[in-house]
Amino acid sequence: MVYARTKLMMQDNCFPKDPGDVVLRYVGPNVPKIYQRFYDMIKSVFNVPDSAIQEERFNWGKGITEKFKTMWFVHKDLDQFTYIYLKVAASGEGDDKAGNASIRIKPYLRTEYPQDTLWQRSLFYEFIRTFWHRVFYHKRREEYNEECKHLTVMLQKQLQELFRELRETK
Amino acid sequence: MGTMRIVEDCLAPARFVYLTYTGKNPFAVASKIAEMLQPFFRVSSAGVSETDFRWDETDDPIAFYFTWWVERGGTDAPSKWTRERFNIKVQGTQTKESKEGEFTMQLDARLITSFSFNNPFLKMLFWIYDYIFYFRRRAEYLKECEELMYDFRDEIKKHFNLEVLEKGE
Repeated sequence: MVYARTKLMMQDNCFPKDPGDVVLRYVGPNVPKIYQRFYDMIKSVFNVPDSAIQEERFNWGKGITEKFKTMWFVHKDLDQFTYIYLKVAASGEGDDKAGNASIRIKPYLRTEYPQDTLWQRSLFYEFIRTFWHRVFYHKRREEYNEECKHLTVMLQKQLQELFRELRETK
Repeated sequence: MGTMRIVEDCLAPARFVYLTYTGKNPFAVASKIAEMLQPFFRVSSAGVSETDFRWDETDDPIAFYFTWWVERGGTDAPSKWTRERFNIKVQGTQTKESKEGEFTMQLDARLITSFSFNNPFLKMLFWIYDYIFYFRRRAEYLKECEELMYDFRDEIKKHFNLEVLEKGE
């Protein structure tokens, strides 16, 4: 991620057509286990450290059954300017015997160009940046977009696998 | 004499992070926060303040609300020019009989870099120094500040026996 106060940002949905996000629902046992297992899965599929995952919201209710709702932001740096930005919302309710959970994944591809200094804001710099972007970088962004889709689909498949495993665990 | 200030959100892109708990004895969060602030953030008593405390016992469930701030400045600060400011806000309810209830904790953290100068030349020198070297330090402080805030929330989670993500694998 570019560390600058002022940035020019381009954001694309990795899945451009509606709905643009992935939603998975689960009904079965061992729902509270999804929280930690899914977090580990994001880390391994996207190959990111803990510091690249921010947990913005954490709701947990303790009672006869456990109830949770959480929101994660994931950053995966692809190069100096571009990163995959993932919004993940997971919620669930249940215990070891029965319950349900829902997971929504919204993947974005973001490119940021710093605009802090006078040089970076100058017209001449903008000419060069636009030229370089169109000639060289556009193609690379398309490749990154493919990678973003690929990783999201992989996460989706792994998650389905996890659901199957949880259903079979007694 | 002029002062230049750079204020950054440690938790960006999110402005705040939240923890919501529903269950037994939610008011225990108040005493937990009070006892852990100084040792956790490693600040002196001057760096901590409880700015608002409300406890409304006239109704059932009892409503409570309190705010704290922590400032790592002076000798506790990460550097001569940069200090950290953490704000904690808790709002919740608890029933009188069963002590059941809920609370929501809102946390935000900022990194404040201040530089005082008495002529434009010094200001320019700081900008150059910041552009070449200091912005990297600020980026590191920002990461540390963010991690500290998340660790703080994890401590509260542990106290209420909630799921804490296992990290560092």
